[in-house]
Amino acid sequence: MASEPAATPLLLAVPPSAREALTSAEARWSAIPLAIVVGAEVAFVLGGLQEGAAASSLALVALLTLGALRRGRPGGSAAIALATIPLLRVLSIALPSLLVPVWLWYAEIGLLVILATMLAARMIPFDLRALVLRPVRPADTLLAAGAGLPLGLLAMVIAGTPALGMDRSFATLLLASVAVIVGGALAEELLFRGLVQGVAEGIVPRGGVAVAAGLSTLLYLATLNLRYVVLMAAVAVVLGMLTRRSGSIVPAVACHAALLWSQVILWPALLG
Amino acid sequence: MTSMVTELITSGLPSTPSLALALPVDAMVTALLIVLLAARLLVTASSGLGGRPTLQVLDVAAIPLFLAFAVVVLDRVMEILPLG
Repeated sequence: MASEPAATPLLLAVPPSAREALTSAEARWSAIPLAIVVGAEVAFVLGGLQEGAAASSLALVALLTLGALRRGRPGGSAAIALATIPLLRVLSIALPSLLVPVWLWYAEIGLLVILATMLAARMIPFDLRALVLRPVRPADTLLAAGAGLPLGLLAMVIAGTPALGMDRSFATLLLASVAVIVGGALAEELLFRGLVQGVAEGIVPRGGVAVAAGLSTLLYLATLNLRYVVLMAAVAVVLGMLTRRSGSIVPAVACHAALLWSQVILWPALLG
Repeated sequence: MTSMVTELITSGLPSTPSLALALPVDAMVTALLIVLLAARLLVTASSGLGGRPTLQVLDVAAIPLFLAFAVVVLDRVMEILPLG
């Protein structure tokens, strides 16, 4: 049986005969924003903080320009969606401050990333809400969250994650947990498994998971820890496949939330 | 440590208020915001209602950066106040 590209949201309105040609043009044009994002991240890793901030700022302006010029045409959706990645990098460089607790950084950056993701999603023919609101089996979500706890321990050991340096009061613990889960896990999953993977699957139907996993892994390069990068690449691929199979990002968010929460709060408190 | 906040970033944080004021990253955010706001004004002036889709594209970064700018200014004020 001939394999036909899956009917993803970007391709629904296109007749099957024209689908292949459109996908090909989309893929060609989308290579430009992809190269811009990769270049900016490589500049950050090789050049350092200031060079990385400058490269990400330039990449952001370039992607917004490309997105505005090619809106509704091949490459436009990819440019708008991928503009959120250098924006995330700029925010993550500019917002951390020694005056506020480390756990608050997650909330500051993450909430702005969620806002940018939602603003980008309304510009492209892609239904992000469906990925969030589609019902999933609670057992799948619980299983994904359960898998995140040992992964968090593994991540903490590999990355040598320090404790967040907060006091042990219940209120602080609760606020830090919410900040890490919403600002870290939800923001990254909405962006990568939601927006980026959704748009990528509309362009390269069988490669969306790989593109989103590759881009999220690219951001982990700046941890300068190869074993951690490999671990998070494997996690990103599994989360991408989980999202594709369930049609919802909820299981991926549950797994990532359990992983991140246990990595930075639970395990350092128990073992640190 | 997540993809957002990395070793590169935490090791580059300014340790004193004067170093914080000299940090060029905040200047880059400000410059970026000014560029985006200027572009918004130019698009509005040149296209009127026809430029609305372009404005929405610019807003993807302009709105979060504006809020980030407010947070950065607040941080810097809090850093300077103890010197007063």
